[in-house]
Amino acid sequence: MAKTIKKFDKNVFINCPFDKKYKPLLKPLLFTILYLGYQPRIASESSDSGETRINKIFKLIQESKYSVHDLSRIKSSKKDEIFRLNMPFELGVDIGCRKFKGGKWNTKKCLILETKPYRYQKALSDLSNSEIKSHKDDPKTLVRRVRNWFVETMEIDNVKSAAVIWDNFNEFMSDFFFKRKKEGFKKADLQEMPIPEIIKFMKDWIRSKKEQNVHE
Amino acid sequence: MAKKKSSTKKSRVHVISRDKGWAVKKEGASRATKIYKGKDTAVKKATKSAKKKGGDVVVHKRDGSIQKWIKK
Repeated sequence: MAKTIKKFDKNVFINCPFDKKYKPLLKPLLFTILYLGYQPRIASESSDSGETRINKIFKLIQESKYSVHDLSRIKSSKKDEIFRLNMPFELGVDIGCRKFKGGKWNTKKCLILETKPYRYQKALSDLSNSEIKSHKDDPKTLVRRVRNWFVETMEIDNVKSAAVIWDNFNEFMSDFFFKRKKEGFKKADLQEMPIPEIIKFMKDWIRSKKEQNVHE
Repeated sequence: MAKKKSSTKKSRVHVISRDKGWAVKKEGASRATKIYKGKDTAVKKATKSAKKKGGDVVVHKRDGSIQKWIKK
């Protein structure tokens, strides 16, 4: 039980689009959370076809004290494109869990992201006056918003600047590319690599980088 | 023929996106050497710097992924 609670305090439920267009934001988002010492939890981390997606989401929400919800797809980008409702729905489930489940779930905290500030108010006016951060679809801005939210919310100090995290992410990307190519991975393998595998590489890289810094 | 020595990780020079342009940054350095408005200029400067140390230049895209890897 203690182990579950410990994990709960470190888990961050990620509620964002997993499409190709969002990938440039997803990797820096995962990297920043891992760099800060937390564990991103996403629906695609396991693919048991016997488990329904919604049950997987419920489980992740219950196991995570923190969450990042990206509502940047609340507006369709072209004619006849249907806007995505999954993200606002999962945000609602997360807030419901915090509000009604009681116990440790009352301590849940969430960061809501959007591309543009205030746009969400038109689609989700219930959230008016909530503090939502905009990332302008820019990975560097997203790293800064996420890093600053963790620092403010967790009141942690001695955290490297967003610029340092961003530079580390770029160095990780070059090491990742270089090593995987050497191991025989092709461009398509790298582009379609499952998220849990990327998370594992990120974790290993951050661990070895931090150990290296201690010894230098 | 003498085998070309492979460049070490530490001698890599990166061209990384910044809010106000493109940074030239040596691998592992705590700060960027300089920030340039144009990416082409940054790549040229990075190539010059890498040449001195016998390292590679890694040109990143705006999202941090690799655009080009210029071997020494």
